[in-house]
Amino acid sequence: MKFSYPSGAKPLTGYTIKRGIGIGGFGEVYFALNDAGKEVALKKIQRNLDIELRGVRQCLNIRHVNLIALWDIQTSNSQESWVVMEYVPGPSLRDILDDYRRGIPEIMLKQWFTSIASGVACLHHRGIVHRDLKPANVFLDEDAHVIKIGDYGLSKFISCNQSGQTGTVGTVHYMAPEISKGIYGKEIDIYALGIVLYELLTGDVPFNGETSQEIMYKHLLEKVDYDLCPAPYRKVLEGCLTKEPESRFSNVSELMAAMPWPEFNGKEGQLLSLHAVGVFPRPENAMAAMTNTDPAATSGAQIEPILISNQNSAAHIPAIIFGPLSDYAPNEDQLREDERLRQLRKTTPPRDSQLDDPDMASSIAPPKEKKLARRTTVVGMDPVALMGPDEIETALDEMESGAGQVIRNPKPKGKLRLSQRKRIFAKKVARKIHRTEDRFSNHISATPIRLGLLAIAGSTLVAWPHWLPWMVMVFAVAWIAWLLMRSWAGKSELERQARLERKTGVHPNVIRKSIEELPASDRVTEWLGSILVASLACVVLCLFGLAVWQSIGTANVEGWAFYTWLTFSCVSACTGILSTAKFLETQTDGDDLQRRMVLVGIGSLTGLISIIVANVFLVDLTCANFDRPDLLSSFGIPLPAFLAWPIFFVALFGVIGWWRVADPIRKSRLRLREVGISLVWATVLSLLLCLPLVNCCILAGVVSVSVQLASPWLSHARREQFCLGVQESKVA
Amino acid sequence: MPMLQSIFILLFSLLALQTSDQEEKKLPEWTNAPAESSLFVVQTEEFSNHLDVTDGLLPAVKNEVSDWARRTYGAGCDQVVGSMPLEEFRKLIYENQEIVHEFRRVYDKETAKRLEAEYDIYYRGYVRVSINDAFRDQVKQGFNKFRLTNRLCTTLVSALFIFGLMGIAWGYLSANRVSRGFYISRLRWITGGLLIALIFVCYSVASRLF
Repeated sequence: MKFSYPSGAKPLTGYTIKRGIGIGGFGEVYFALNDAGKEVALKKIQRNLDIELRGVRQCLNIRHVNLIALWDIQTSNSQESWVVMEYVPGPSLRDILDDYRRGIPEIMLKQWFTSIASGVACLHHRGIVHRDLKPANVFLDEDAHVIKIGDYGLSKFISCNQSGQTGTVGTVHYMAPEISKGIYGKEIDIYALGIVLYELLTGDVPFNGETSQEIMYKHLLEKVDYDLCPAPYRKVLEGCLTKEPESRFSNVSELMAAMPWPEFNGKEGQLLSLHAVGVFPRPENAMAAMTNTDPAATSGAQIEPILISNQNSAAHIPAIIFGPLSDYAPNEDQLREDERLRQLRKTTPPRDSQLDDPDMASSIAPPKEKKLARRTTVVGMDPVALMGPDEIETALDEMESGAGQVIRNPKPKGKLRLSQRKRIFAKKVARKIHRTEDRFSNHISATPIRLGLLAIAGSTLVAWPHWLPWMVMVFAVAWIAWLLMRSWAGKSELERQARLERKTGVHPNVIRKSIEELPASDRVTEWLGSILVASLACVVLCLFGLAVWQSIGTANVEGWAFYTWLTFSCVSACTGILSTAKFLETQTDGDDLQRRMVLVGIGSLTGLISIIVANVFLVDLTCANFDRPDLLSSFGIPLPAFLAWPIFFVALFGVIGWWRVADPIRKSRLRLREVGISLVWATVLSLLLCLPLVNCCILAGVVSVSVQLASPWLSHARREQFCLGVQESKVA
Repeated sequence: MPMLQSIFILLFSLLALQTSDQEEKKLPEWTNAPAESSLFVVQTEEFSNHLDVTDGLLPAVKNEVSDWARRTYGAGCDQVVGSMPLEEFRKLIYENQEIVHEFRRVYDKETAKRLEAEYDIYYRGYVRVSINDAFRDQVKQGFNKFRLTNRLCTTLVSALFIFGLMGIAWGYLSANRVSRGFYISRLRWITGGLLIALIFVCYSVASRLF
């Protein structure tokens, strides 16, 4: 995404561009200052000039507190058309929703939704349909304490017969079904308001999919799942999201009157006024309003004569008093309650985790008992806002007791056979370990802690190299025991994948496709950065390898030559793995054998490089020239070093699934398990090929750690954002 | 006293005449022995006194052994031998075959007239050197160390340059991506500056190391 004008440019007389804000479907938007120093947003109209200008002209004289003001249309010397608009720095509602993955608190919901509704109502009153209503177009002006709707790029008068609209308008997630038919009116904004309300309540849009066609198809045919929304809002949503436009609320006032907020009850068809709806009054006004209990006095003190209904009467103004943002800071009890509610909401499965393929979904579906229990919980959790304290307490206890929603039946221990009891126990242990691992993987300090553990292990190895076989053996025994227990507990790969999908909320294939759609320059930058980080990691970590043989402070030339060989080998191995992983990261259905063959090729190349480097630096690969004796095995195939090392690399690359180790959607950035597996396999190879054990282990360990540290990793929060962002850009 | 001095001078002159009249000693056979791969004869320059020959003997051996090392192990090895102390070469003298040969150089008439002497006495040192296995290993090790040091230094400078280059490329691309191409002209200038700085740093490091 590149802007036409740099900072400091003056494409329009009287305005100096400061920076680019964004590029939309109709052109570029800049933040600029006029000669007097006033902040403005400048929109350069590049495409669809007539449509855009026509839309903007209709909106030039609209003044409403919840709408971003359009001030002027100007033409530059180079005949470019510019729209001068009010500048609202944000954040947008999209940013807010990104922070509230399970829906925003009710108090915020009121502020945002009433403000949006107020702005839309004003537009409708002027006969204008917004047509691109979405959270990304709604901004909070934190200085002025006002929420504003922006992007009039698609605004247009409603034609008399409400038809004649051509082309697709708006963003597909918020697009009413009738838009695809080309006959629509202001009902599409009601529909979009419904979708926004749904998203505010649940944190997600009702219809999602991998392509815009799929989403549009769902808008046309699929029913909205209202189960995730609190019960009081379901009627409102139904009124907004019906497929037939004539069955929807006919206007915003009707919608607001149906809201389960007492302030609007029975106010159908009445006014929504400036300060009554969606305005954050200054603190002094808010305080005055809060202390004044007389509704008439309150409303009278705040109402401005900008009304959008024909019933302009102060007496009917809803007495909704909003304070400044700081007034909404919840107290401790409220925070605790919110946290509980958020926790309870988290127990419901995210929508994205539902698989599109029913066969696959059925194959990975948990056992019936679990399903029933989960559904029970979901039903119980939905109207969570209406739960009493006791109910919340019970639900929390269930949740904290460890998958309380899953296992509800009392365990008939006495009646089960011993093997069954053991299996249940194994399942419990496996689940516990998985859960602990999941929690820890997401923790911010997981990688530093693991690096610290590895540093301790490395220092131990330097001080007592003869402990290495024992360390590897202990890990190998623990790992085999874990594998046996997991397989005994019936933990299949499909279940693991399903859990991963539930955890991330997004199907891995969607992320891979999104990565594929990234610009080539971005991917090249990422690849270059990862190679750089891996090389630096190798340079640092290989010092452990040198320290095993010689003290770093007093190392001689031979020692440094050995270090250079080790570093070269590790860097070439990491480069090969990272390049392969970068190439394979977008493959959704790759063949493992094919991937292994590619890695075997890379391994042989790395082995060749390693031998050449050893000759260049005159390295004795048996390390016989060092004083410290290595733990050489007494059995195995005594091959010459120039043959044994390439075989070692080929086997190291071919057996370990390095593409999984460097996968951007792996579980966590650095996994000790992967390092351990590399060490075990390196030990086996060193014994088979009669190679120095320490060197093999250090080489494998350094490569594993460096690759994991350097390869790009999307955190669970980021991969959701990432996926969402790509989807949005795709739609745009 | 003047009388005594004149007697001494006379005696010395007579003694010198007697010495110059003596027959030249023949060189031992080993001085003409053909050179072998590790056994060869080294001879010094001509000197007018014995002491200079003795002083110049070991440096001559060192030069010859350096040539031998360069011929045997390749360029650069002579530097390794050249850095060895002179005493190391005394061990290479084969079976005490070391002499200082005194010889007479007869001048032609013109020179004799100019120098007012028909001949002069000169000295030349001969020594037979044998390169033993221990010395050969020592040279080999030293040469390996020298080569390794050179290669490590070259690798260090190359790695510095390559990593620096990669870092600059990555920084440029990342900054361009973050700024959405907004500051591309400035970034290009900065990148150019960084490249020049990198070349300067690499040159400084290389000039220190080599």
